[in-house]
Amino acid sequence: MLTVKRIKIILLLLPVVGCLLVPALAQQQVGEYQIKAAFLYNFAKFVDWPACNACNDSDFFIIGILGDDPFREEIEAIAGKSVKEKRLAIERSATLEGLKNCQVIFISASAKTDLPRILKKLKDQPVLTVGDTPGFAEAGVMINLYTADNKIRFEINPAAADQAGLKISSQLLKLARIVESKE
Amino acid sequence: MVTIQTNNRGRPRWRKPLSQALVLFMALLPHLSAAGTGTAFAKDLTEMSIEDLMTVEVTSTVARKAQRVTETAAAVYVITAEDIRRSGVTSIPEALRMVPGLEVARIDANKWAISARGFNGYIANKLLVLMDGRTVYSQLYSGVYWDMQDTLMEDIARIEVIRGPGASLWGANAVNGVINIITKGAAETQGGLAAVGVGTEERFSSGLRYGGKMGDSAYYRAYGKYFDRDGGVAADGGEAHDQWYAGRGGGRIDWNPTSGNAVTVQGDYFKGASGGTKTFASFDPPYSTTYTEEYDQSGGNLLGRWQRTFSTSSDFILQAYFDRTERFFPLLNETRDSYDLDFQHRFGLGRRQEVMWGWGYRLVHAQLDDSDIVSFSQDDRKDQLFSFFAQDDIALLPDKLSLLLGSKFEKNDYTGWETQPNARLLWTPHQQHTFWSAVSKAVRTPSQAEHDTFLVQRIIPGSPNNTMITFQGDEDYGSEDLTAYEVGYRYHPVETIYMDLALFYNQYDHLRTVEMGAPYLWGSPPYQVLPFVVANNMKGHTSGAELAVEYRPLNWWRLIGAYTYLEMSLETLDGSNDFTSVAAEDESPHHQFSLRSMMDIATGWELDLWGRYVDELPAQDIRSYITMDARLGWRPTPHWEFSLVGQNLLSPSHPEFSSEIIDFAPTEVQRSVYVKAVWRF
Repeated sequence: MLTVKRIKIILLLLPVVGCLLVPALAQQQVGEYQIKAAFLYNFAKFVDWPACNACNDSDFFIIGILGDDPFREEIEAIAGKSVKEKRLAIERSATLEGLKNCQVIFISASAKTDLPRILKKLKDQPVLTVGDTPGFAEAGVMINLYTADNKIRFEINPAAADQAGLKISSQLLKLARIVESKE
Repeated sequence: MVTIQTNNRGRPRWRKPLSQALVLFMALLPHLSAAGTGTAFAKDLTEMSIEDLMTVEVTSTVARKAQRVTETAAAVYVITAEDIRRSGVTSIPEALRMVPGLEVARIDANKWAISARGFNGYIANKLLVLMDGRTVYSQLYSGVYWDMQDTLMEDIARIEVIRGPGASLWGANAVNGVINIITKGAAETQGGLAAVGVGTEERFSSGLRYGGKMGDSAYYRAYGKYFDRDGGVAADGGEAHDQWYAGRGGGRIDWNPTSGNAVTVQGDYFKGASGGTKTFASFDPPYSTTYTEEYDQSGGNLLGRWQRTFSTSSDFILQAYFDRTERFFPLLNETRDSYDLDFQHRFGLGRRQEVMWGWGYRLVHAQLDDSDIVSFSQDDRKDQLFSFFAQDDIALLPDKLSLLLGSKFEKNDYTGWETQPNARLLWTPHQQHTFWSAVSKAVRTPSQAEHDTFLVQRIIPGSPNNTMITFQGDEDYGSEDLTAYEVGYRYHPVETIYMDLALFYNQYDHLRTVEMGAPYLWGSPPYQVLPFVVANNMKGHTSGAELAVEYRPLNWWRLIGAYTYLEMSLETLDGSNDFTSVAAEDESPHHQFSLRSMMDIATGWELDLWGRYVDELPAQDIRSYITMDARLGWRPTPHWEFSLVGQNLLSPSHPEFSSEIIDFAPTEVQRSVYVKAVWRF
């Protein structure tokens, strides 16, 4: 109930609260790819790559984006962070050949038609493949992001990861929908 | 063990008019959110755990993004690693002061009285405390030796606190609450960390940890720490000899042999000594002896856990551990070995049900080296505990309404079979609002002391015989019973505001009393014995409210508040002659406030303030107090962190608690300052 005393307090506080609230609310919006970028960073933390046999002895942990880049500047939030004692860097390319030395490749929806060829080339290579297109996990992409109830979820194809020699932590598996490849 | 997945961010604030003003103001200004996105917030996202990320809603439209709050139908509070770092606390008990619904009072520099929802005391016995799934309460008195529970504070991932019964999962002793201290995985503690601190009370502290990789699928870490703390000041201003020092070391290996399999092996060993002033009866004039020496304590544990994950909704965990504690008191030395085996399995049943079941076995071997003053009828005893639990989580309306039914069944060597069921309902009518309610039964099974002890409390010289006042256990002493009714509400209107309210009504039966028995003659020359014997002759109810609010007015400023209200009403049954046990009503504060402010005042600089108010304890003649901690932190590079911390700044010293049954001289908590440097490499 709004008693006179409370209204007075509210009126008194309004300007203060207003100043506090404007910047707070300005940051409410969280874009889909802002969240997905944070997921990518987390995936890198919870997957183990086989001992690096000349795959990448640089100082960088590289995430490649294959096809049209849906992240744009949102991905910069994770660039430069440290993963597996390396600095995280981002590379972009329209073709797989343009993404050398990547530990993670995000396969954009635009590469869908080319997916079987891409996966065939990456087969047995220690590269974590990530997508956000329905059907990608069943097609052999290791981790596929999807949206449910306005929230980002992910599915994992453990067989695909095992084949590449990657170990996905049980913490991640626990949270994922597990899918199998469809021939 | 069972871990509640909660988000790390939820929580507090209290002055009512302000929150109302906020709500009103926001209602008036719904369109403010249109402005920019800002990478500052995106950076925050990368700091979030994957569980938290999964709760963030995507804003595809102008709608504000909300994080989903904990989906637990229980009063849960989570202390995060960040909360610990920024509070400047140096021990686990001190960290617990930020939790609504808990009472934390220091008796002397190395002893605490900690309880949830009333019944506090040095031998508070209605709380279950776990460290990484290992039960750490002592069967001797059903309580926790807080001075033996420690680890490198930087390695604690979070402390989950559940107020209210957790007995349907965790079993006896999880009556008024469960505290689960969870350390980080080895993969999260890679590299080195060295910490050193010096201060007025925190005389010297140091810690060292190093983590690395073994092969390509296992991580390890090893740590060591040592601290030396000054004693408090006695009520008369004198020295109380309650200094405390301890060293501790341990390690952990996390191995992921294949996808879906996780193996953890961890262990610790510690050795330390703590002092205090304790007075016991004696058979010779002047019939009492005061002990001011330091007494040794040591312990170690080794734990192995295998988790097999089949899918999101199906996994099993098999865990085994061994734990030894050795504790020396005046007139009593205790060596306790626990062997514990625990299994749990979770699986989906149809699309709407998730079933979890498990069993456990524990063997506790206690060897007591007792004396004429403190003696036990069985000084070498082995107790076994068999337990089984099952629960079903049923989605009545997917994402809106769910019902959880479960029960624990266990057999112990003191009272036989105990059944502890509960039913919980979770209703989320709207993503910003969550309601829950629960009805549960829990029991507190007898401790070894309540069963076996014979404690000479006082000898009063007289003629023809000296009188001996004793405190005695009873083999017929039974369990204390609780029926708890709880409701809760969580409100998360915007990303920056979170509120959690819990209300409860607890109905207790068969609570412990200490009855004066018929005097008898004993010994030669004979003593006139006036025995006080434990019995289950008290009942009562408690009720209360706990509010936690978190508000982030700016992205560099967080405010977290907690308010606790508690009312206790106890009465002894007809025929009881115990008129002291009901005093527990006045040994827990009615009101407690805590307000923390965390500010990132400039790049690399942090200013953190923490104010606390605790109401008076009339039964102990402890006045209410208000105090404040402050921390100034500086992180010039990611490798270095320096902090200057002041604790209990508002008065030179204040008392918080006196002890019961055993006569420890309490000391006052003093104002203190320390500086600390942490190097990560």
